Amino acid sequence: MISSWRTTARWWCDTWFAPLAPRYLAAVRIGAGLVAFIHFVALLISGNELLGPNGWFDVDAGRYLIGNEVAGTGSVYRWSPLYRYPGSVSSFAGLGLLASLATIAGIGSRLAPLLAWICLCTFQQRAPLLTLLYEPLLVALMAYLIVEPGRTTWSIKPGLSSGEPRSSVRITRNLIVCHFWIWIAFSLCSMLANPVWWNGQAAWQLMQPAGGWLPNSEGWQWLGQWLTHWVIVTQAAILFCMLHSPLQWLGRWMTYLFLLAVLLLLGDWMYASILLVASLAVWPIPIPRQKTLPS
Amino acid sequence: MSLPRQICISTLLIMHLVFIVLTYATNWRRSSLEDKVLVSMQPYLIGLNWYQEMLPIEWVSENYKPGGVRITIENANAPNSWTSILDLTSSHSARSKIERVIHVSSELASAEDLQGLTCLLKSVVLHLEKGRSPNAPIVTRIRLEKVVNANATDNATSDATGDVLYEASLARFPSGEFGFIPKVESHRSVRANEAIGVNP
Repeated sequence: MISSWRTTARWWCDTWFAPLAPRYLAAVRIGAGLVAFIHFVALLISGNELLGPNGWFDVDAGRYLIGNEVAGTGSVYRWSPLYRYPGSVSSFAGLGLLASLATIAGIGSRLAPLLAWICLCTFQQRAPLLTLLYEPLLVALMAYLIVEPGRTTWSIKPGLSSGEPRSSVRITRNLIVCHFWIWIAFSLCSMLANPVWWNGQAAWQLMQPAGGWLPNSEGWQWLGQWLTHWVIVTQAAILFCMLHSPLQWLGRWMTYLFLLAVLLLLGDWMYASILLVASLAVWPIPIPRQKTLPS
Repeated sequence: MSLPRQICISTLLIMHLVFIVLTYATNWRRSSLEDKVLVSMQPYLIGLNWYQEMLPIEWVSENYKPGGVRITIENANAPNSWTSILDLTSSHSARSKIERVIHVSSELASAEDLQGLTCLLKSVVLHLEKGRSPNAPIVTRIRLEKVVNANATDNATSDATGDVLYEASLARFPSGEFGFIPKVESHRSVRANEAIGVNP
């Protein structure tokens, strides 16, 4: 009994605290920074029109929909400054843009992802119901990168800190992996709760809006049914492969197939991108070891 | 890393992941126990933005399909002509967020939360009328409808092309404010005991 506890404790420590080289997080940091950069560019262009004074979604509507001053809604914890200063949308978007650029470049250590995360939260807390598919994952990745941005690889100033393996890199990577697994699991569960994902109609419904990438005439219903099953099977396979390390290669290909379905059915580049970035923590691409710069 | 530190970090990690699972699970179905835990953990979950109301994981909603619902307005300058608010968007990057506004409107309509729906529609009308453009429309009527014929969504139409979820005329007050007068559905009649002057 005691030995099995010891074995479990050892396994836990190896899984979560064994040092890992920071280069394993480089691709995730750069990818999340890029997605955040595009997000803030869009907010810089249209944020004021959406959330500014007289925007599509004004402060009154925002306050009502977070259940302002209604017990149990937790509206008091929505700290976004945009409720009080709706005219500062562009300032926060600009600050977020700079922070995401710094995150990509690896400048500013933990401060860059921290600032980017604050700016992302500022917008999400202002309009939580207008959150798009990719945004919760982007905020989560940025929050985990505050713990450890893995800043020494592929950055402008690689000599900022040591590239030695450390436990914080492993913790951050595992948090992203667990979050990705939970996300895919609930994506699959919520789909399976809807009959259209069983009877093959889901993808067909998504193919219907005019101007999409896929044919939507009646004769193509079989394609909709294939795609519906494809989405379900790939997600189930991703979850299974993540739990079985010998199946890494299969998991990686299933992820690519799932992302292809996201692009074909939703046409959502940002969602596909952030899923790809998160999956890079699960199945890292081979990254060359960085040469040490002469001091 | 020292053992006490490992124990502390492990406890925090497990708690965090449990709360994430709980948050995602309760977006779907929720027990009263889960609700109590969520409410007590709101400072952490909402304060650090882990909590997601209406988490958009599901691609196909029961009440909403992309392009399946639209908000149209009637402009005073073009009576009996309805224009989709998506066609009045100047910024392409705002389009996906406005589609989300329409999604939330349809969810509010199906939940029969008229106060929330009118609050949202009021914000839309205020935006359209107070835009900087000199050609800003003057909204006389607003309609939320499910589109039956998706191909008919692109053009302004005089009639609803699908099921009307909500329709209202705008009543203007001298103060400059406005209110919504919902259109009474044609199939709904006044019950005998609700009619004025009739004793039950």
